[in-house]
Amino acid sequence: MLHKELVDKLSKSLGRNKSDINKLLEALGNVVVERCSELDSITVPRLGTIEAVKHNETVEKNEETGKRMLLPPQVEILFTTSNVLKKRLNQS
Amino acid sequence: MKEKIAFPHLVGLVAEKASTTERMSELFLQELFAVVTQELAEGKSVTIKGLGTFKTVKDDSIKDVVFSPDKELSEAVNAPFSQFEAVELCDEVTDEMLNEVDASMESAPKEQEPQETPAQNDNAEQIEEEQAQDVVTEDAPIAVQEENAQKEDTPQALSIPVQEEDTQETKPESYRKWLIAAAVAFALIAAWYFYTHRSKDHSDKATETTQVAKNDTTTNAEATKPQPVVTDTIGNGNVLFTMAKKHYGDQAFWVYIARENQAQYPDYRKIKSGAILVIPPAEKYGINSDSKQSLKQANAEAMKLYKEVKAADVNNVSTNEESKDEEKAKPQTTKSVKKPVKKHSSKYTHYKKRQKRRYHR
Repeated sequence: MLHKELVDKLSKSLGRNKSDINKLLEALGNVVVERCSELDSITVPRLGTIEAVKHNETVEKNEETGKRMLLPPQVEILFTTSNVLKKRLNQS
Repeated sequence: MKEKIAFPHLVGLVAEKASTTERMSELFLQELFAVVTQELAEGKSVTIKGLGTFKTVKDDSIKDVVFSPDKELSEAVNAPFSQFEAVELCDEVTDEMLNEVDASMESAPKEQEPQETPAQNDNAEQIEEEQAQDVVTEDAPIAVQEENAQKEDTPQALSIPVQEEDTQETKPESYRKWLIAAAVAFALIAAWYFYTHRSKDHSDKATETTQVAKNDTTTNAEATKPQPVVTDTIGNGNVLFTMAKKHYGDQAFWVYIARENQAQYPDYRKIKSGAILVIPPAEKYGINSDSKQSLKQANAEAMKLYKEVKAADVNNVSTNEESKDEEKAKPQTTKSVKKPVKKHSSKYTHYKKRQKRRYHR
């Protein structure tokens, strides 16, 4: 499902304008960005947890060329599926 | 930091951001996540702009959901590290050296903790001194340091024992010397600047010479009065983060230093080592490392700055392309009028072709 289709579906089910739905989705995106940059985790019931994990800088070796690269620190965004959704997926 | 945000908290945050009621936000989020779970349960994928894509993946007959974050999201989250790039290590750097660096990095905070307080106090004192425009106190540490270097017999009252401790460690001493040298150099430059401006007003050269003499003897007292500016130099491990931590107590405030120097260095990611940056006073931007709100503001400001810089990058690229197109178009018109002018860049047409191919597949 693409973003447009999602907005259409939500606007129909909630009886709101598409612009309102877009505004709320944007707000959600902003909240996720803000919270993830503070390395917080967001738990959504029945869906899962969105979590930001910071990896420190590392040295990686390319086995083929033998060159070593110093990689900068990085924040990765991880998603853990909730048990409810996992069960639902595997039942069907 | 590392806070767990539950659904009710998320509802409040979204309502605040979208400036709607909590009820509306709750209904919206419930509906949104219900739709997403429904779609995922049916084995479909869901894309949310600004967030990412949720996909169902089958691995050894077990289905699971995989989330790939939007480029915008991952870039925004990694904005503090955007200035770093992957660097190839040369053969001279051995694993032992890297381990040594790691060990020093690990032990550094333990050593720094007691050190930082006197160092920060010194910095704070210096800034206060500059703000109070007291030249005598500014010159005093130099004199005391010189005396310490020559003789340790001089019975100075309270300040000496602290400075003696500092002189035993090489790093803070050299750092402090540099700081003092920089302050003195700045004061001299400021004195020269004021002198040249004054000399324009006065016609008599004789009076000017006397003024120079006076300025030299009063050791830049008047020069430092109008603008007590603190500066710091990039390089030798001194980056915006370290500067912010040193001057404000938290690295999150680096963005204000970048903002202050934006006129000189529009892209904070491209500031080269040796660049001298102006450190704005904490009051100017309401910097307070103890307040959570101030930290939040700094993070928001960082996001804003990052987006601005990114937008400027995109604009530069587009203007360059346009100018290239114009350059290409000019000789065509002069040589042969029949040849049509290219409407799109080669990149654009290539992209369009790829899109078509994908569509036909």
